[in-house]
Amino acid sequence: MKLLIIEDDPVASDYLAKALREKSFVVDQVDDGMEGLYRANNEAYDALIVDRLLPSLDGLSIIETLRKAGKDTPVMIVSALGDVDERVRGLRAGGDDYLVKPYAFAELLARLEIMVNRGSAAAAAQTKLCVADLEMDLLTRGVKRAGQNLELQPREFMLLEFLMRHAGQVVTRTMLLESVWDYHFDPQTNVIDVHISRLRSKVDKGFDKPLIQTIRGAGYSLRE
Amino acid sequence: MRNGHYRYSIDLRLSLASAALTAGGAAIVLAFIYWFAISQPTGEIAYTLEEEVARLHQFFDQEGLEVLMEEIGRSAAKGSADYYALSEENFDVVAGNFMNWPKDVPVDDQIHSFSFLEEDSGGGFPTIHHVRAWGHVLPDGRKVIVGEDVTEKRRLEEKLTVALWIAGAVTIVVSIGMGLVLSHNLLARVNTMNETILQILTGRSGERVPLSGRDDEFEALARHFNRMLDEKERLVAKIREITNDIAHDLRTPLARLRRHVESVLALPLDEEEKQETLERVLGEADAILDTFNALLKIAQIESGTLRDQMGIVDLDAILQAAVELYEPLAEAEGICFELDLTPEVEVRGNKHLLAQSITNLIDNALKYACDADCIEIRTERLADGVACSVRDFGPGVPAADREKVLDRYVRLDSSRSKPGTGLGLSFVAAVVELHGAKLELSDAEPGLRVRIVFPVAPC
Repeated sequence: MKLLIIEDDPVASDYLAKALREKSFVVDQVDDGMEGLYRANNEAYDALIVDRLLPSLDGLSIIETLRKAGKDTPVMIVSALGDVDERVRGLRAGGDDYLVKPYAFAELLARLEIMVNRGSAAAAAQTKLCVADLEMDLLTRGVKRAGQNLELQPREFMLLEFLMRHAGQVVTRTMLLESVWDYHFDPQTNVIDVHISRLRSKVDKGFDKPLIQTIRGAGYSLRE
Repeated sequence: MRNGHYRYSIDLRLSLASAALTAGGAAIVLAFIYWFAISQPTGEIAYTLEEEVARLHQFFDQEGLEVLMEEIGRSAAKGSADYYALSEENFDVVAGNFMNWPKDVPVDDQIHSFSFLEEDSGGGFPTIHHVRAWGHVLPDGRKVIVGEDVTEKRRLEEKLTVALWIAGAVTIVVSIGMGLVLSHNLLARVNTMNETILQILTGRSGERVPLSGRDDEFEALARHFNRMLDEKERLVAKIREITNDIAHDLRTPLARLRRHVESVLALPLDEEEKQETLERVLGEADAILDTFNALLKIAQIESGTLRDQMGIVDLDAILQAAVELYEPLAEAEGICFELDLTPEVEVRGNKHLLAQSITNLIDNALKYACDADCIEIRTERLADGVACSVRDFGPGVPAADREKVLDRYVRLDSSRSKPGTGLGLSFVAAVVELHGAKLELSDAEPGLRVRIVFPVAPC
């Protein structure tokens, strides 16, 4: 996977590039807005990581220009501007995800994986999600495992749905709060952990293989 | 710009404008009077004279010289004009009462003005007469003259003209004077305000523009200005407070972080200890960032920069979502939620800030609740608004401390053993104020009830 980092802080850029290379990404680094736009436009990248405040051309303008030119490369916006409304601005400009500095590398990695492997429209139109012997029917809102019906409360269903849509990928607590509750803040407790614990007791307990896995230092993942 | 003396002072401009307008108005009136009393009548004279001459000419045409001479004689006695005369070509008068056509004034069917002296038979001074006359040459060369004595009229004209000029001059002077007086009056108030404001801006920030009690525009200006000054002071105080908070709250964890790093550098630690210390460093850094973010957010809320991101918010949905988030955690601790929600309770607000506030309140309630307790969540419709409340059955907050609890870092002694930065309630307080709502902490006997009362939402 080839990534382009457009970031003018050399320390942040180097650290991120090094960590990503450790995870087998090919990483190019650029510290200027105009140069970043040029390279993003003329070279093939699987994803871009763009800082908002850059010399000569700011991050949002880069994204808008790329989108207008028909380039739909996934873009992760990284910024110290953390307001929900700034996030909305970033996503409206064409960004695919928005991460507030400072962030944990694990968070960025998890979101990057999800962003890059985002399915096509076909995936969104699915009516059934399946992982191993776990089946979720999105129309009837029913969940079965090994043929047995599971009784889930509405939020539990939403949590499981998110995990299943990102089966195999790492899902962070922040992502769960954002997608299931639309919360863009950290409640400072281990609320999500307790939810997962409950979900496990319904989805994994009594079945032969645990599907909901804990990924240390990052979050959770639904996988065989 | 010297105090009270500006180059384009309104004082001067108002006075000049007032004078100009009045003078203009006066000029129009005076011009009308002049026209009506003088120009017009003069025109009428000319018309009369012309008519008379035409009439006499007709006589000559129709009746001949003899009859004309008779007619002239008759007219001189009781005609509409004052002077009638018929003369030979050489100006020798043969009929009529006017002997004094000056030789140098042409006889050309046009009106002419001239004057002559009349000798006084009694030996006194000769009187001057002013005449407007019309001269006409008959086909046989003789001259017909008709004239008006305008001596009196002239005198009146002169007097009137003088009077009009004097009136004009007086009007201008008076209007300038009035203008000056009015604008001076007006400006005295403005200048006082200006001086006071200048003083306030250059140091005496506690002062305010004095109010006179009159209900007028200047009063409104003064009141509004004072409000702006109040707001400015409030913000300045806020900045000071926030700077202190930041310094206070970040210094401790930063010092700890530093100590951890020093220990790794200075002490002979093994790999595991180093790993542990570095993890602690990360923990401190995260704690610092969280505190910083929370302080920043509160600062933004208190300074009103987030005021324009509001919409219509469904309170029930927010409370429901928050309860669903904390429910498993509460259940694990043996605490239950009791919901008493009124449907369709909507307020005007920022849903993200409200969501975070509610989770703060629930988080607090959970901290102080015990096994087998309940937390009551309620929304209700009031006469003058809408309220939501979170009530726990814990130890509650003593009445004396309820104000203090909203301050930045206060955590009551009984709670020092529990984790948290203590910013939760002050965040809620800031959000509540941003929404124009009220935050009430009351004794639920037992426990604490935290209630947010929103003013009536728009429809």
